[in-house]
Amino acid sequence: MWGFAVTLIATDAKHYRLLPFRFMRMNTGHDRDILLTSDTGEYMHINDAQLRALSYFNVRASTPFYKDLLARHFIYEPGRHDPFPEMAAQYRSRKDFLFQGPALHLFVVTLRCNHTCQYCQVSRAPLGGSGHDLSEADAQAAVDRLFESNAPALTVEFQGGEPLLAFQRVRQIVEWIVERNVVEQRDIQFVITTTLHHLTEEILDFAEQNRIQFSTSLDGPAPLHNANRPTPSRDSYERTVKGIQWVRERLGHDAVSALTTLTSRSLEQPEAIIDEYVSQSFSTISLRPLSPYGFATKSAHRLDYPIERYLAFYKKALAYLLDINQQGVYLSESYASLLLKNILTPFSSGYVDLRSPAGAGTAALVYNYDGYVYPSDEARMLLEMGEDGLRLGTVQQPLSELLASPVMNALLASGVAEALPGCSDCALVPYCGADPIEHYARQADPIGHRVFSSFCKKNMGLLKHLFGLLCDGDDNVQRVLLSWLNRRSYNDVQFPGYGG
Amino acid sequence: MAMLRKETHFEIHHLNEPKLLKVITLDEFIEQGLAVCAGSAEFCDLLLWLPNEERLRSPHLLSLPVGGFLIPEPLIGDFDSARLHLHTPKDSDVVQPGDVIAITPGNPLVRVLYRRGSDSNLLFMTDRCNSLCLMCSQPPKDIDDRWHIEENLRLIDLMDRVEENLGISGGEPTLYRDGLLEILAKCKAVLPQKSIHVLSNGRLFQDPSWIAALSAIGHPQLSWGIPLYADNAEDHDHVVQAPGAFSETLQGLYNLARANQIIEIRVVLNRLTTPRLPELAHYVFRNLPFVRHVALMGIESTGLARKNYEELWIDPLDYQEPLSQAVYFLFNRGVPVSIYNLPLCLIPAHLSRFARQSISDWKNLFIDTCQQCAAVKHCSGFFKSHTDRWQSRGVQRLSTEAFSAYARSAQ
Amino acid sequence: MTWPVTLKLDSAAYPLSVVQRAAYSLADTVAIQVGIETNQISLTAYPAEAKLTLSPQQAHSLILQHLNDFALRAHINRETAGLREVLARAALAGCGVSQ
Repeated sequence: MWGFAVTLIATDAKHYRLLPFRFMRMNTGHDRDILLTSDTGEYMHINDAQLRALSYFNVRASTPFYKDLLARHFIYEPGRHDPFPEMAAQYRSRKDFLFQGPALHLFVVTLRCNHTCQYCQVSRAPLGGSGHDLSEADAQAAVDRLFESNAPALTVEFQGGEPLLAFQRVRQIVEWIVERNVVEQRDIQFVITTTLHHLTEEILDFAEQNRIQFSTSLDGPAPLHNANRPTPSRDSYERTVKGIQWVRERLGHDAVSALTTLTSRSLEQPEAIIDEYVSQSFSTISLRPLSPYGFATKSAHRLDYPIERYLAFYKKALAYLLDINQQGVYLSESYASLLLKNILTPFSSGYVDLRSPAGAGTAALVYNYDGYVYPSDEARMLLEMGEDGLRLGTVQQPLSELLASPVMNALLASGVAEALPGCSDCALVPYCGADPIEHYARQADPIGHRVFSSFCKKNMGLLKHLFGLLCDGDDNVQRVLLSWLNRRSYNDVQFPGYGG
Repeated sequence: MAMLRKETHFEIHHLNEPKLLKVITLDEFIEQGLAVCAGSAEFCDLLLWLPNEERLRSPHLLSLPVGGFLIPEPLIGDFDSARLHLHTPKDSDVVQPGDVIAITPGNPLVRVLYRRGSDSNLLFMTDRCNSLCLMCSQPPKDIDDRWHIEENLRLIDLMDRVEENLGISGGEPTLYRDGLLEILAKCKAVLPQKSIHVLSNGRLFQDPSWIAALSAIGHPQLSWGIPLYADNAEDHDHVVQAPGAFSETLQGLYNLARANQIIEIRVVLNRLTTPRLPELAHYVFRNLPFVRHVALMGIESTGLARKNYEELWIDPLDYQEPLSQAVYFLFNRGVPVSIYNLPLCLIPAHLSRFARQSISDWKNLFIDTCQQCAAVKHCSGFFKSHTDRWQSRGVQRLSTEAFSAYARSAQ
Repeated sequence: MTWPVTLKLDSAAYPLSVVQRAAYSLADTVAIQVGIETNQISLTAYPAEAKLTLSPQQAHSLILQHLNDFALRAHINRETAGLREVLARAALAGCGVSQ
């Protein structure tokens, strides 16, 4: 049945055998306080007595609990149904992203920028210079690298500095890609990450022709946004909002999305930030904590905060979001949505920063203005901390060489969560990921110590909180969360249905 | 509203061998000739629809080069010809122009194998089956009835060339593997505009050699309806009375998916399947995410179901909660789901948007209570095999107000 | 009970690998010194810098709970030895992840 020889413990008095599973105490004070997860990512909430019975072969056959354990792949009956094929199918579905090359390609076209954001992770170069721009030769080579990935769907993201300051290069790259894609026939999405302060009609015309989308930073209402993101004219918020409106007028409402970056100051105003996103008619908000890179580290004492403060903020923000959704305003939180997808479905969310094996290099590549290739945006930000150790190579090297580089091997060696200390026993590992680069930045070690890891605390905190809501939240809370899962309206999700 | 049977008796004269015949009107014959049939047909395959009045007015019609004549009423006058003809139907509604009928010498029975305009035509493959479901509405027979294959191949040629649904079922259609594959290939060649839905328990698809054969068919609109009755082997195998069936069916489902087939999961709702219906929905979603549709079906109280009443019967009012849980679980996750074969009065208003009028026109009926019901035009009614023992305590006519609550919740 | 909290464990019931994992998972709560003797492992625990308000009783029961949980995990791993690898190999065949 299994196709290999396994030494099983020989007592045949057992009517079932165990399948690999993990457990975690949720410390909620409830009766069924232990989360059980199988390698497929299926889960159950059980109590101590049930865990003991399960582990020591004392669950009575044919009871509902027994059938649940069988169906969700915690146990199997030797000589009866072989669950291996469907377990493999679920596992494969969860790790589906391994079957294709990197799908996210970031082109850092310049470091020039007109902002001096407090938390900026890249050195800002003056507007007038060009020494920090991506050269034409390097841009062309990067396009070659892009198509060496076999991913059928590709996202091309322009970053900076401020990419619109090097718009001619952006235009060139898009045109080369579009031309080459006539033959390649991939599904390609273009995104420009920008402050929107340097928009022109020419840029919007070009964006319309090539269905380019925009991603911008909106940290909250004007005072907060401007405090976080100073410009010489002190009007970052106003110009960003104008930019959003202009893009929407020309390209449609959904052509622009926004992200927040949360500083210590931001953590004091969850409702205000959310209200700002509602008044700007966004349907998604992304409440991600500050990362430990670039200028953020230099100003850590002013900007940084313990991850516990972030989690407290997040729970308040989420409660507020759940409330307003129930009142008919659709605004989903993007990280919660992808965690829900990981928990509730057998599909991978596709998010490059929460995968195992880690997404750095395998999911995303960064073609930096300096002609070097990095495995993630964070890796090139470490450059600004004097750390060039995470280069994969130059953009002139073929992709196969870049992905076989010593840096890549080091990342993979510390990038499989199922094999990392702390993670390998963690019940949440099917829904989580590995981030060797963040651990390297914060702990100077790509493996890192899990107990002191901000990455771990963040993900564990958020996952536990969501499990709590899914288990104990009232029907309407569940309806909101389900409406985020499939991007349906709250009213369409009339009932939560079976909670699993 | 009476249901329309698929067979009736005629007086049949001058029939020398079994025949499949396409009934056509004179107008059709003139305008379309053999093109009224989807595939290759000859004049001798046609049966001309000839009321007495037309024949008496134009006796020369009897020399038309058709296979025979059908008088849809008692014969008036003499039929001056030694050619095949049918008259005096017991039920004159059963056979209509466009239908394909099967007749045999020495037997007054006329079977309608294809009914024009009905969306529930099907190709019957065999009475044999490799399972013995407790609620089987068509108890299997252990006989060699391979002759159905030839009949179906012939039938395909004589159908209308229109877009409609065509089912293939039995018994278990996959028991005649080559015949089934041949029929599917012919459907693609001759009836590409028809959506084919095959009902099968999927067990024989555990053999991976089916994968290449199925992929090769390349039919543009082919789907498979496969029953799964539980999220565990013990319960499923008990319902279908076949040890190992759960494992085989799952393997079969994966092989169908590997062959890029469109798959629907069907669940008959009874006392054995409804307690763990939400868990089954969860199992389908996690393990079979490629499933395109889930059909939850009210039970048909005929065949083996009758003798297994104690195990199977549950009043639909008593499974509304698990039904709702299962339906919304699937719907909220983007899996299309439908409820079939339950009268609307037994489905809570919030589930009515999932209810489909689904009992084949030749199987359904309405009872006295239905006479004043506001929902009758939207309701699937009951199976003709319906009896009091299998009737819910909740059957009632819906008032106009109650029915409009249903219509509102279907938004 | 006072600090340091001490435990003596039978190394058959609580092998070193179990003790290591328990100590690792409690690293921000208690600092544990592990002593290896014949058939016994001794633990000496002090409160961690960030948890100076932790009582010895709380520490003792926390350590014991973690030890028992990791012992249970070790039991589960023994019962399921090899299955995880076979599952991953079967699921990921064909994605270029060799052997």
